[in-house]
Amino acid sequence: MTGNQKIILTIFICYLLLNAVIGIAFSKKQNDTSKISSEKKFFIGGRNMNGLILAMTTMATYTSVSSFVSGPGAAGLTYGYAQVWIAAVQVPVTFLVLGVLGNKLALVSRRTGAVTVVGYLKARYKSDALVIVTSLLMVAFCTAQMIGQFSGGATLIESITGLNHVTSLLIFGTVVIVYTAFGGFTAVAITDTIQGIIMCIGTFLFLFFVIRAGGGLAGIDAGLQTNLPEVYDNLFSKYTPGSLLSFWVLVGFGTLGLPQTAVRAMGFKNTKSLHSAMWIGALTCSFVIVGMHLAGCWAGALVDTADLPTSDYFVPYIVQQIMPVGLAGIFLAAPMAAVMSTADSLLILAASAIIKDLWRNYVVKDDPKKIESYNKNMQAASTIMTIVFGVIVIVLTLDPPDIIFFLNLFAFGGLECTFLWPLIGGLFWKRGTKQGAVASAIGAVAAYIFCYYNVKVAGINAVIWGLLVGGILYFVVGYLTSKNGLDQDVIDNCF
Amino acid sequence: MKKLSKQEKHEQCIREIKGTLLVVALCCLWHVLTAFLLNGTGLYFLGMPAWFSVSVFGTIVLALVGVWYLLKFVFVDFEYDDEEEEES
Repeated sequence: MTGNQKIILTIFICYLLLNAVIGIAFSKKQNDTSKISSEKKFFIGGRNMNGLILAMTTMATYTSVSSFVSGPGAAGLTYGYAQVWIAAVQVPVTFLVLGVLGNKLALVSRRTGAVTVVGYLKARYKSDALVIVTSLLMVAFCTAQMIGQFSGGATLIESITGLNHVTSLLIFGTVVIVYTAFGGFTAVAITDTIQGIIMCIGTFLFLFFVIRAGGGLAGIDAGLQTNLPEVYDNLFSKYTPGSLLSFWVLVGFGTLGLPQTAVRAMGFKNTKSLHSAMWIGALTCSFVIVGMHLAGCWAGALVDTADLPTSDYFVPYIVQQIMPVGLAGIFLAAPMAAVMSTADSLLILAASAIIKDLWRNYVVKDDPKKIESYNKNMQAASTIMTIVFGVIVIVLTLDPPDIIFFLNLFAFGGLECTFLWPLIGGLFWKRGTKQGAVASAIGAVAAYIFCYYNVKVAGINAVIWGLLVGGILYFVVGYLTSKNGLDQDVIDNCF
Repeated sequence: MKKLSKQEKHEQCIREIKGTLLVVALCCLWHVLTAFLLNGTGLYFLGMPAWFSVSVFGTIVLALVGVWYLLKFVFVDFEYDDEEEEES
């Protein structure tokens, strides 16, 4: 390990420890002062987020290793401006999710006492089958997405410090698991906020140094024409129109079905928090996502990077070429922040699915003694489950996939297919029934996986077919099975 | 902060959702149409291919103006009070 790598590693470890300490400290402070149930504290942070925290945790959860490492790397190495164009689909995501789900989910979750997305589905549809199906699918897809995030975190540490993959993975995994397990949702939200701010600083640094190294836009333009001659001025050189339009569903409208962002709509304080979060989220999301991809694309003009194993190594490599070592360490905390903020949210989501949605509903049930024991031990059980789950993900990540970008997108699409129609339809369509919701979740995921491997039409992403099948099933089955109408308490609580 | 009845809250939520979806749909239309139409024209804007810069920076401007419009004219502050009472 060189002297520069030691400096960067030291900055990294300080940053990781800072996150763990702040997250746990804030969580402990809330536990000491707040009188609400430990379940609500651990899974939803006591519905206490202000606008800044809500915006940052939503943006930081959404922006992941793909936004900071894989996507900008792919833009610089292969796809050029077309990749930045795709990234720009995500500009409205934060205010889309908060504007559509925010108030409605806030109201319904308070009425029903739901602290998880599956908890809301249980209150809305009163279906054990739906709870079990969505919980299991959530755990499966969250695991796949977490493998992508953990792998991204390890790759980042590995590529800038020279440590081997396993050691890098253990450093990253241990910190994320510790603060998520012991701090719960509050730790996740607070660290997401720090990480969101670090991401903004990192994006600014990356843009500044890329422009400086490229000699301004004119120099970058000339470099791109040389290094990426075929893709430089052609949106359709690598992507078909169908695949480009698919991104407006996959990372645009479809994000309404992501449980890790939807659950944020259950955790804020009031409408003022929501409104502040909408504009803060729109600004930061635009700057971070477009800024990082644009800088990544421009960085493609600077050097010949043909020797890199995959595009995931591009950003760490280029940063070490163009930034002073101290700033490189600070910048590289930004992609680490993006990875951590997504990984911690997925981790707590998976733990909540097992403890709250499955264990509480089907093992504890209505037995008073078991309920008392559950209430007493819920936090400890959630902590243990988070640790166990995190360790499983670390083991699965020991032999990582080559391209994190695609694993992440696959799991992303799977979560959208599972949740989009039961969640959105349930909030706004009174004829949505449990039969329709179960059929939609299973049918959409089955169609998605089948089409992912077997159907290649005009480059259209499989998530389109999955959501199409899910939507048809939800509305047709709902229409056919809603003759008797919904229970009165469902109408009272959910509409 | 307005005090709304349950039905008024539901109607307000629907209004906000329609407004949000409309703004995002406009962003989507601008993003896709400008890029697809300007691609291959050889035009430049801000030192970059126009299909890219007009589409992407226009989408950002449209999104920010859209959020300003939504918060100014569509979204309102109201209390979740009855829900909080029931919950505790």
